[in-house]
Amino acid sequence: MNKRTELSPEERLADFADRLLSGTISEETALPDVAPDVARLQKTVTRLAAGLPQQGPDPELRNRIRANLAREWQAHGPRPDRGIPAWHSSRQRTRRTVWSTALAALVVIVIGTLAVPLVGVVLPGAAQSRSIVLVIVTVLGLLLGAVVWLFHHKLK
Amino acid sequence: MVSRRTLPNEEELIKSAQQGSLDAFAVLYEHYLPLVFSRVRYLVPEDDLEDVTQDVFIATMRSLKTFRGEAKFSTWLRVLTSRQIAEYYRRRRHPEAPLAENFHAPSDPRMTEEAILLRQAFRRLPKKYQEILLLRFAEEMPFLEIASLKNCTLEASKSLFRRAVHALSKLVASNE
Repeated sequence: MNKRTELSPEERLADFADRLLSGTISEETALPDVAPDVARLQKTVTRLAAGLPQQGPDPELRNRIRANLAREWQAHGPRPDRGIPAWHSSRQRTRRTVWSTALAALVVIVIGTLAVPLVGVVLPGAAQSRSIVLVIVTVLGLLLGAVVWLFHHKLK
Repeated sequence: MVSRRTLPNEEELIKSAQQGSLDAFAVLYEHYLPLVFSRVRYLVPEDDLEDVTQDVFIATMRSLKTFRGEAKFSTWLRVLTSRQIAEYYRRRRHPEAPLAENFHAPSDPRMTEEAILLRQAFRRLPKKYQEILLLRFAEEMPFLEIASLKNCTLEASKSLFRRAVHALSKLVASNE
């Protein structure tokens, strides 16, 4: 049995396209004696391979586009990142992170210090719990804000 | 033949181009022009082939900074090419132009008519069918490479190819 007839329809068509595109078979001899439905697909492959010009861009076209791109580049091409070297932006990011963490810690300490006498004072029950909740909410809010801010800058 | 190989220093070239080096961009352009050109040719009439090809590279230039290297540059370029072709047809008043659309004076009228017929049928194919036919015919990519690019088995790529040819065959027949 011929090896090609043992192939699945998918493999036969793929094999046919391979041989056609590699020039092993020509467009004229490309339609072997096969079932009509297979022949129809092979004919479509042949038409697709032959129906559109295959040559690449000619040198004139290549140069024309290149010249236009050079003009376009002056107006809309990418610009350097203001000459800031990568190490600098990285160092700047680290410095910013340290500063923001220190600031967040400072805010937490200040609020904590202010809250201590407030917590220490004997207030009526409802007022005291309200103060504690207020302090906790403020601290959590500040922490959350610092985290969001840090993430935002890390992603940049 | 379309060169599909990645340039050895491609990453550096892209970074240099992103930092404003026209020379680096020119190397990328020279290397990938045949790939873009041959894909555009399957979908756009000869008259507009040059303009659309140029538009692809202008779009590439303008969005170069957004390329992060998560995908291959060639894959990114294929996406930009498809977008520009879609944009081209959006701009046209009559996307389904008749057979007598403006073409260069044909050296072989039968071939030109055949090309128009094929292009019109091709454009009506679902995108996944267009893509596999473009990879195999326009880029002359072997099935094994297509399977690797599409992250599927060799059998699956051949099966998709057959379905694409079948769909195209029906569309061509309905246009004739």
